Amino acid sequence: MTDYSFPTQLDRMIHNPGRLAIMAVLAGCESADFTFLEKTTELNKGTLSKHLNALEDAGYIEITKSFKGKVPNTSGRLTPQGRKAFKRYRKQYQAFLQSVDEA
Amino acid sequence: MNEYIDLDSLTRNTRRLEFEDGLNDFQNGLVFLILGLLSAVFMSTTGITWYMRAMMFNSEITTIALLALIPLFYLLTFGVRRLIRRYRKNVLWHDLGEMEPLKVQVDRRISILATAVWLVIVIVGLIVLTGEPMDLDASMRVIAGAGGIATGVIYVAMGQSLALTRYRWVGIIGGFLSALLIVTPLSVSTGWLAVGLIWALTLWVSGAVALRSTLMRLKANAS
Repeated sequence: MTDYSFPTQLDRMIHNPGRLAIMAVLAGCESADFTFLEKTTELNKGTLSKHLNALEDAGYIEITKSFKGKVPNTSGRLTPQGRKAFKRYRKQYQAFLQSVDEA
Repeated sequence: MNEYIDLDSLTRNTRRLEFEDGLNDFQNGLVFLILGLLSAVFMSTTGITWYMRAMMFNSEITTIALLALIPLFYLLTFGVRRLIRRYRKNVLWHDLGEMEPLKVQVDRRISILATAVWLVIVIVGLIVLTGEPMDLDASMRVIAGAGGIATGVIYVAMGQSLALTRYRWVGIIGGFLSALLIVTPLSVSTGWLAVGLIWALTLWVSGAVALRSTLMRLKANAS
């Protein structure tokens, strides 16, 4: 019988849609500021901020807070651990989708 | 936010931003032109004669002057890079925020493929040429032309991975013109200059087309 159960080894930290979108955007660049992430992921400020903190706590991203003139600027970048975790997640998820397609 | 996440698109679109507006092409075109010019100067009889004279006049100053070309080259490309960043921040990406592109944009597999292509063309070219009396001009043209074709391979592969049709055409046109160069009777120095010019012009035309459409899109969005 085909096993349709969701792969439990998927990284739950990344699997959340909001955090997944953040990780996918950051995987395509060295770093991005808060506005860029807000525009590209279509998350609202509060949710984005919450997800960024969660990803930082997991050690997947590094957040830098600075000032550009008098305006505060927050930017994030994937840590090597985060880049590795995202790569692993993509592989596992693609394998899962393929197994569903083949079933 | 849409619950459906297209991972590949999000990552690819972020990567593509660096190339979409064409400004990167202007910078790369400039690099090709400078490299072509420098190669042409150092491989021409006039260039070598001047170099020998300068070395005889004062070898230390000549060496320092030549070594100074390296930081000057980096300073120029760094300066252009900063101008691009400023223009993007103030005009093109004004509402989008800031993003620092990946340091290594060409995938390792693409680099290996391009190097393999270059090597194969050079080896085959040189073997074919050694059948006759060795022609220095022709063998140098093979090396330069192979470099141009390998660059074309890189652009086609990047066009494929970034889903950027413009780069596929840039790669095909630049690669084809570089291949033509191999069979064109040019001297060593003009051959290298020609490769630099081919790629500079191809990239500048590509950059101009992309920048024009980006500006038109911005204008349409604003009105």
